[in-house]
Amino acid sequence: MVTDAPVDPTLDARYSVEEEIGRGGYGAVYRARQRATGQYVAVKMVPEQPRHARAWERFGREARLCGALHHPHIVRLIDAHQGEATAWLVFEWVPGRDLAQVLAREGRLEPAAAVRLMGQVLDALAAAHALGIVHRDIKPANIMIARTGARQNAQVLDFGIGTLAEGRDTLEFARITGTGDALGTPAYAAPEQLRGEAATQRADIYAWALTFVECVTGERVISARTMPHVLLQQLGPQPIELPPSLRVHRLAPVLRRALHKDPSRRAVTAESLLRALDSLGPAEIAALAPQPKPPTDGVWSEATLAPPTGSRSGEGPGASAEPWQPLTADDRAFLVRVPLMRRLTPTERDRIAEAMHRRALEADEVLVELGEDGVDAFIVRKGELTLELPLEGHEPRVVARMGPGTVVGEVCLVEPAPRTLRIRAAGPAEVLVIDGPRFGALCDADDPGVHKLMRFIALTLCDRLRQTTGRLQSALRGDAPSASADTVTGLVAPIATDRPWDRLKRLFVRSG
Amino acid sequence: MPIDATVQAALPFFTRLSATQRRALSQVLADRRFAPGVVIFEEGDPGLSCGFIVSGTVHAEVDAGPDRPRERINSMGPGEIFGEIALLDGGHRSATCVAGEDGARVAMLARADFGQLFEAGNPFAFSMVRLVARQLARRLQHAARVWSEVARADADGD
Repeated sequence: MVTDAPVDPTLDARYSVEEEIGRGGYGAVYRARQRATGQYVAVKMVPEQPRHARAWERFGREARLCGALHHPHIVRLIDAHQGEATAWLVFEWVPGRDLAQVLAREGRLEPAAAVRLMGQVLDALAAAHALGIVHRDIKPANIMIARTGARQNAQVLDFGIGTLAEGRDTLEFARITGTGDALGTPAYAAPEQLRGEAATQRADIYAWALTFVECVTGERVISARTMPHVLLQQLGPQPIELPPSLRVHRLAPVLRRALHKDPSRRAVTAESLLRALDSLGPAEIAALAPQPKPPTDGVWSEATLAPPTGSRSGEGPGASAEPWQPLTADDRAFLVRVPLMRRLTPTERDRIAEAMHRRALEADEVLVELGEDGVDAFIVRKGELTLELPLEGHEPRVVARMGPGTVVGEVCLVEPAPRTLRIRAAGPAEVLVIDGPRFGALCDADDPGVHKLMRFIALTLCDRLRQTTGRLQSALRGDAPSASADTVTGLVAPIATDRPWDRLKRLFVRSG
Repeated sequence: MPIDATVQAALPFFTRLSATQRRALSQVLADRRFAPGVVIFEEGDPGLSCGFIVSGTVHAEVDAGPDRPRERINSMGPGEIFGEIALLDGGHRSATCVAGEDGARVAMLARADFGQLFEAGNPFAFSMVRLVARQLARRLQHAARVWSEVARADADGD
């Protein structure tokens, strides 16, 4: 046993501590051998009692849950102990380097490696979140990159330990990470954690997105060098900006959503992020790499990145690999004619246009799937969208068709939620996407144009609710249902009048 | 009667407002108490205000046809808003709102006051639009889920 090894009879009875291998925010880490099996393990000593008894209890509960967490990309917690003033946790020993060391050495990861390794991290998070476990400290230093066979794989460290930081205020949080791992954790923590609020699964999503962007660009997103500046960047009203190479990438909307500072608007799950990563084609993966010639002064501009209007993925040499494009001058002129935007001044409209991008759709391409996390709204630019309800064993029920100038999905722009319908392009189509997180950031900044727009959207929601209430009333009275283009009442327009409306009423009335 | 600190404490959105915003809102909100079963407003009435429930319950009911009692379509409790559709669009009331079994204490906001606050660029009015829009969105999402279930049952011939 090494001389400065921790003195703990319970630990000593089970493990032979060999050497200190690191020191992090929670205490020292030792390499040890399990006496019973002789296998190497990593022992993490947590010398400090959590301030709140509840946090201590939660630690015990979560340690038990983590012990049951078997996943190929999670470093397994194999033992844990709570003493009177200290706790220790024993993890399986994983040889290799952590992602922070890899990034320090390599600069950045190749896009394909970043997608694969960070996809594995997402899969690990999805498994943990399904059990109600939040990691609370996802960052490059907590992701081991180990060669487990022919290729390298990611393994997430330290599940179960984050509960001990819960309830500590920002300054204390800063203090405990202030040595060695200087500022590492606050640069990846979600804003709500820095405010001392309880971390949810969405805090892990935020930290994952920061780590992913760092992997593909080699640059830390929260790049301030001093603690006050880190806190300012994390807690200030400005949204997290994506680097230029990612701003028009197909992943940009979901990454912006994952990086929303308001957890209530960070409506994205590990599964949906993983689906987004899995759906990337080779060209899209390659496009994650930073551009060799960044725009001068590092500021993205439409002129430097916008491909020719109408260019589409796979349309021959020189065509853009991305169906996502910034708005053109024509798109901005089109916005003037959209009823939703008509009441805004040109300046207000321009500011909102900055939160938008254009997306081209193939015929029959699904823009929005039923049940997926929704935060964006869409203005039909060209072609027609079909809103439909998939029905098991039946053809989907078409609820509405929306043509140019109409707005779709605005309910989720106001309140992120799972999509209630599938939206599909009836033929080749283009939509202008209002990016939910950016729109929310403008709202938070009290942008008057966004407030006008929000009032207008609220009025359209009022109209739809009135139609819904009217439809329910017709049903209660036994009136014949009237045809409607509304996406809610349109669902029931084709339903016969003798349906069991009592059931509907029962479903409609909320409890309490 | 203007609202007091008890009413403010009961309304969750107050905690998110600055002291100035709270003062501005306190001046235009009216503290009203309704006995059990009292009609607060009736379906078809012009929408002149919305209400924030401080305590008790408010039921929303709709006309179910001649010689039939009104059908209850929603019940709301402390912290919830009712009549907010009219606050924005000024249309007629789409449902009758009735104080629940234990009565209701309600902070009422007149549409005219709200409009003035919004036009003057008062951040409270902006917050209110967002708050109301979110509530409307949640109700529409709920409605969409319910209608979807009915449509599925219809397709399956239930």
